[in-house]
Amino acid sequence: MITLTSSDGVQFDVREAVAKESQIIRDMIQDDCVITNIPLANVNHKILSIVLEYCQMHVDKTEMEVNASKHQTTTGEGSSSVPVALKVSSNKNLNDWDKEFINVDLDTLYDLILAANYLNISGLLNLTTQAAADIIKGKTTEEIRATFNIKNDFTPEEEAAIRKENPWAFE
Amino acid sequence: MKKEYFIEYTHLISILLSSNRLCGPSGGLVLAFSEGGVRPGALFEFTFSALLVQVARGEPVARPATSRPLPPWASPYLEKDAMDWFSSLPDEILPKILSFLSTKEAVQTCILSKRWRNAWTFLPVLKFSVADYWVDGSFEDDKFNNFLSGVLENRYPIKLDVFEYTNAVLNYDSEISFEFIDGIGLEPRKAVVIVGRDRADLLDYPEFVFSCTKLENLDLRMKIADALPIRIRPELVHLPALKFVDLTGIALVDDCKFTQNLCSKCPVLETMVLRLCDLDITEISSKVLKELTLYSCSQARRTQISCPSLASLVIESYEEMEGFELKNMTSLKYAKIFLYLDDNHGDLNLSSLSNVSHLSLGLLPQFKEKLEKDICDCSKAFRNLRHLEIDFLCLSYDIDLVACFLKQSPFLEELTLHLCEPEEDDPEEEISQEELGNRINVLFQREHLKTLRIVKPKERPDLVIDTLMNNLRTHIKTIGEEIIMCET
Repeated sequence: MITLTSSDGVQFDVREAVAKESQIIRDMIQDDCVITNIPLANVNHKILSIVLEYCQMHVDKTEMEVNASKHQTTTGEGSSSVPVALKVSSNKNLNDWDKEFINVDLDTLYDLILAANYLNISGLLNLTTQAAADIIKGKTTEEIRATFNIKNDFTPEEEAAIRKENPWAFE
Repeated sequence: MKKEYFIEYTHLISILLSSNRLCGPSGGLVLAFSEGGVRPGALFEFTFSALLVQVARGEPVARPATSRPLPPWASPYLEKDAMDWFSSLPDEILPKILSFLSTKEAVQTCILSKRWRNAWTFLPVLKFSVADYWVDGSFEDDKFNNFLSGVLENRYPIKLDVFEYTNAVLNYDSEISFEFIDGIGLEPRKAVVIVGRDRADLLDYPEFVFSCTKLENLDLRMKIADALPIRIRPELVHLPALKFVDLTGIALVDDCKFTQNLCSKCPVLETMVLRLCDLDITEISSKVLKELTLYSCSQARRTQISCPSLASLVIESYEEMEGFELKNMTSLKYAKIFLYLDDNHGDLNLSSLSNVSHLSLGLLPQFKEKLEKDICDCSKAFRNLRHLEIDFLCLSYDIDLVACFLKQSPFLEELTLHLCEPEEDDPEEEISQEELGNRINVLFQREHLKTLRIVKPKERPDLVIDTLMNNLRTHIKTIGEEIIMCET
């Protein structure tokens, strides 16, 4: 077990495998195997608990996959990856879970992106940035500006010039 | 730099906090720190030396104060109502988000604000979709072509990770010109080409994806309205870096030499996945292929698979198949074969899989009798087999097959049997233990089996399980763990 402490001092006891979903924690553990307590100064307890929920689910799924492909563990050699056949079925459920998991408001999404980036959890970073992209999709320029509070710092002339010079982009 | 510094800092603090060994050779730590090449600020130096002093004195060490100022790159999203959501995101995040958009959507973010003006030009992905130019029931070829060249001319020549082309607009005579894109020398790491059209003669796709020196991953999906797989005939196949190929809906014919070229001209190709493909090829033969997966393919003739490096083989199809001749499967560890083969259709020489450690079989009962013979005649036993799984198990037929495997695989640890649904008026239910006993033509008994797992449909009575168990016990003296579960 490893204790992760959030920026606001809340402690989370998690299995090593769960904590190791984070690349920086993985590196720390690798460098020093006696480490048991890791303070995370940039993630508050609310966000950390969401992040850990994600890590827990993904570790559980991976372990199930490994169990399903026991040939790997018993032979102890050969190909490093789980066969495509086994990945396909379990990935479907996990994708559904991810979709439900990432259904959060913009503020939480923002904090999750920062946390995933800081802790270097590549799966979560992909999921959160994809979610941000999905919010942009299908919106007009004005709608995107309004949703994300983007201030248009082009003068009307500048904006018109960009459109005029790049007709291929806006047809 | 700041980020590394911070990680180094937290890391060191946690080492200091968690380790008792530090009181002695703390010099090593200080050295490691300066070797990191990071120039910490005055505040940090102060904290660090204070910590060292405390550790040296053996005093309890306080945790780093949470009120310590955060590094600027992690500045929290404070004034949420007033702030631009993107403005304080780390710089590497914006391209990541934009990479999930289609290239058209990404390009059009250039007028959001000055920060966005050139953001799209540095993206490592290109995703072109014809559907973006399908307006009011007609396709605007000109505009699509203009867009293609506009993007390629204005894009900064950054290393391309993913190239995607999707054309699922069914019925129109396209005048998309791939000349430009084929000639520009794009070198993606991964290419995804999805084409779904009404007729085979409308099929168009960029040719350059078959001759990229850096391409590692090729995903090609074709579909025409009548659902028949499509022949493709790339003029040149030159993919020296290709590791993974996934083909859907393609007719593979000897004449087209597509699979042959993939096998012979891709020296590092490790994984081949064929889905809904029509196999009309005499062989799949590769010295380097490690993983071969065939889903729902149909077959016009018997195919020989000869891949000495293959570690995983999956063949799953419920079409009528002609079968496979498996050769040189010396490296094979994992095999899953679910096939519709009977006396009239197809053939499969299972004995060539005698090196596998994990075997999963789902075959028609009629065919299994053939297999029994194959397995029992097999001169080499399945000496590596640890896990065996048999699906669609019918008591009256398959008990001998199981017995054959129990005999031929001395190191089997785990046996999983999935009982099939009973057919209407199936006399199998009434099969008596005596009858079942009489069926045993393999006379032997093994010492031990670690795990036996039986999965049954809910409606099968326990009696069937008892009969099966009793029969299995005549072949196995001790069973470590017996698990009986219902299908979920």
